[in-house]
Amino acid sequence: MNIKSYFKIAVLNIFRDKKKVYFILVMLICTILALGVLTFKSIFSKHISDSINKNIGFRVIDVVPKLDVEDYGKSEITKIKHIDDIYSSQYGSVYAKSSFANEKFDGSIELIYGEKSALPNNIIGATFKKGQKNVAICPIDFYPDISIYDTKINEKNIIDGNTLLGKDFAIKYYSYSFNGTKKTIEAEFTKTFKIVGLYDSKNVMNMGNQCYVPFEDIKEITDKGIISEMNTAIYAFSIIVDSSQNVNYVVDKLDELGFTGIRLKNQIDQKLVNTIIISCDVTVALVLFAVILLVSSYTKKKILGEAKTIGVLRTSGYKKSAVINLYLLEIIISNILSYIIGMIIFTIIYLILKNLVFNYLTYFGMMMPLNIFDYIYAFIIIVVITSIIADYYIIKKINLNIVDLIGSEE
Amino acid sequence: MSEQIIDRLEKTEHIMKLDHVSKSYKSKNRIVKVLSDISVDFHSHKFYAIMGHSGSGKSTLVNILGLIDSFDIGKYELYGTNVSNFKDIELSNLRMKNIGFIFQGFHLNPTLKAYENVIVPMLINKDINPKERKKRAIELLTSVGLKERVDHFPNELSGGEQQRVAIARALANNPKIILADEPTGNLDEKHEQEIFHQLKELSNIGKCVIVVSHSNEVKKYADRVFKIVDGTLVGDDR
Repeated sequence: MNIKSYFKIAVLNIFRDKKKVYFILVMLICTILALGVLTFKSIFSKHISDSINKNIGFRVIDVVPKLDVEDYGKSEITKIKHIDDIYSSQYGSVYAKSSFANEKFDGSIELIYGEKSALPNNIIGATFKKGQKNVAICPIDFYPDISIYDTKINEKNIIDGNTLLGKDFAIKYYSYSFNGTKKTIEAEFTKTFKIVGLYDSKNVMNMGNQCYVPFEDIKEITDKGIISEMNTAIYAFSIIVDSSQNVNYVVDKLDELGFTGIRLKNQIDQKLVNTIIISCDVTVALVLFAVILLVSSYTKKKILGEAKTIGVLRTSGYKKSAVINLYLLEIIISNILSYIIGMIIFTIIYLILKNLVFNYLTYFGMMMPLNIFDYIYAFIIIVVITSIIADYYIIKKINLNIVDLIGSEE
Repeated sequence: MSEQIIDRLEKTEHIMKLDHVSKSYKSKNRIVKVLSDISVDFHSHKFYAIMGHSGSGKSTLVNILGLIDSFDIGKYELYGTNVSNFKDIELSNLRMKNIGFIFQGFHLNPTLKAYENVIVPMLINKDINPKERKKRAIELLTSVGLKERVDHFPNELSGGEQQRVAIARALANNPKIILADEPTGNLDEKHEQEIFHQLKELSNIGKCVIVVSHSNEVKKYADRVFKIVDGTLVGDDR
């Protein structure tokens, strides 16, 4: 029997038997389910990983200065390995109303510490030159509005950063006085920035209204806003570690040197994250296990239901290997068909959900890429594992006495 | 070895011989003897009927003759060659070229049309040109009176028609031996006569037809009638 004949019989059996069409449907649902949980797991894991590795906040350590040391311990800190930068935490960022305010935006932006150690890679345009002031690097997808901190934004209003490159914007900031009971605005200042560069805020898990500016600019704005009569606070040192992998090393060193109040700027409850990741893994494993069980059960049922037909083929002179090939080919064809249709349906559902429902999440740095490995894993479950299970049951069946397969006629 | 038998089978009338064959099986911790010391010859151009009450062992006998069941002791010669110890692959080859089965329940593939069901056994027969398969299937269906039904699915055919498709399927590889196990068990009297008539026609053109049946109607068509009593084969005096 040649492969063409095997193929023809297998295809006829698949498409003319309603039960087999139903089998394809079940396998198709299993494909969508498997792809769904695998993709969810990938997106979730990637988001956690991106949050920790890409966001600078997870490698910025705040530490209380040593009050009994002349430079508050700054020189001790700079000697620790893996430290890129150190600055007073009060100069980390400053909020301001900008000239971007119009009917769509309220103009709220956040100016953040933008020295070289803190700047993201892949900046479009220019970075800051040494001693340069009144320059900014803003997001490519710019959204200068307070609602950026809400869960949903109006995507249509996002400003294409490319249209802003080389242009100026202004911010207003204030100095204050304090009469013992009330803080009042003393003077209003305006400061102009030129946008010299753009960066992808999603890629570093920043908000879309955060522009990097030189340290001196932040210092100027912050210092003006501090009420000198009330300024008795001692600010923490913010230490930028070169990578998130070295954070624990630096924390240990700071501890050894006797620094107190050591904390990551972006705190993450690792225990909670681990619990979530383990729960996610368990859920994925359970769903995949259920899918494999379902697939096995249906495959078994399908093969057992074919006992008589297998028996008739054997009486016609079909060798065991020929029957195995015939049924295995049928299973493989129907599984590949289920997989392809399931994969297409899943991808369409995914694209619809991503573009119409969850698109705003991507703006907040939640990347939702489809992972080729998830498709490969689903293929292994739906096509490879099922075919192995089918092969097992076919071989088990084929080794039965032909009389038992047909069923006694007496 | 099987090829040699096939060649010799073409030239002789003496086809099958069982020599002191016995078979028993275990049931609920006791041994049940089904066939006891059966010795019998079967020839081409003959219509044999095997009768007996339910559970007497007549189907077992046909299954042994059809090389789909084994026996405990004795010898089975297919054209003078002992096939008792043939391997599965050799038995498959022998079945393909020499034996056509007809079952009580027809056992047609419901997803295949009548002519496709007839083609299935031909798919493994290299002696039949793939381009000739469909033509041959239609010829066989025409020979059993189903010319107008070749494109019908089994569920679109009556019981009698389905059994005639099964007869055409049994003839697909032009076997010398036709084994029918209660072929009319699911049919009414009219269709029963039609089927026996078809089988008689086959013996007339040279086939060795062995029919297991409860029906006394089969006696009218049989050249020889055997009855299984207490596991032994009792022949009539024809």
